[in-house]
Amino acid sequence: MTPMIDVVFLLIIFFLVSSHLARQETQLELDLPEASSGEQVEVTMAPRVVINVTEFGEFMLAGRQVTAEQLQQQLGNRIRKEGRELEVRIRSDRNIAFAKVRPIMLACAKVGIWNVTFAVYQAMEAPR
Amino acid sequence: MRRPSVFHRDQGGLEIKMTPMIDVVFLLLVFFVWTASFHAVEYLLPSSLSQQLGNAAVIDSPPPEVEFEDVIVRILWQDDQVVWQVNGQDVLSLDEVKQRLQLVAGIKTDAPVILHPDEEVPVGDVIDVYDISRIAGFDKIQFAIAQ
Repeated sequence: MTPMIDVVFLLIIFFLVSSHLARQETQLELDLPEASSGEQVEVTMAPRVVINVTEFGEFMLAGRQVTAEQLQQQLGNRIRKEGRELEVRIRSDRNIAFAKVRPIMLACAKVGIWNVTFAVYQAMEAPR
Repeated sequence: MRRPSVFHRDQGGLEIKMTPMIDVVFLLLVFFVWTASFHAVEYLLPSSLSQQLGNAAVIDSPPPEVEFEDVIVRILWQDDQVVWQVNGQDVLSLDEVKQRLQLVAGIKTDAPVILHPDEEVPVGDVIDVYDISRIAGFDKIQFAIAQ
């Protein structure tokens, strides 16, 4: 029995870990801002666009680098397809200037997306 | 030739097998090391744009006429440092901003808070102010976006 249990255990752990890593790979690693009033991410089927802003100020949309104009165009396409409940999630590096994030919010406002959220890490203590 | 004693044989039977134990301990070790290195959990800060559909949630230019009830928090960037202004008055620390916001929130929470960060201010500092406005209990927190 023992060798079989060994092997089965190993396989279980392997698949657990690899599935976890595979899920993680879908997210770009960023130094997100911290906040203490953040809310739990709910897993929903609602249409969502995640925009990553890297530490170099590049916009990453669906794994590709886009310009502010392309972003607005693509957001416009998405809202025409998905309707008003489209959610835009901004994952931004905390050290980037606000001027880099502003075009995203402006683009959202222009095409009529109001459901904009910021991804944050939970702050360990109260904000400074 | 000496006959092996009864006691000796008994001792042999009590021997602990190390290999399976090491197997299991290794497995546990690998598992815990792996799980410990996972990312921090992400949370979401919903923006108030989501609650009000359409009606001037994002202001395209700095508000031309300042209404009395609005709380305008400017986040300025001077000499590579963040400086805050609440309704035109300089505030020296984020704690003080928090106190002032809580003071206003104690009177009425439906007053809109308008955040007006300078271009150079890091996003982290903007989110800090956004966060304390949320903690203070304001319902409407808006961003002023000048073009």
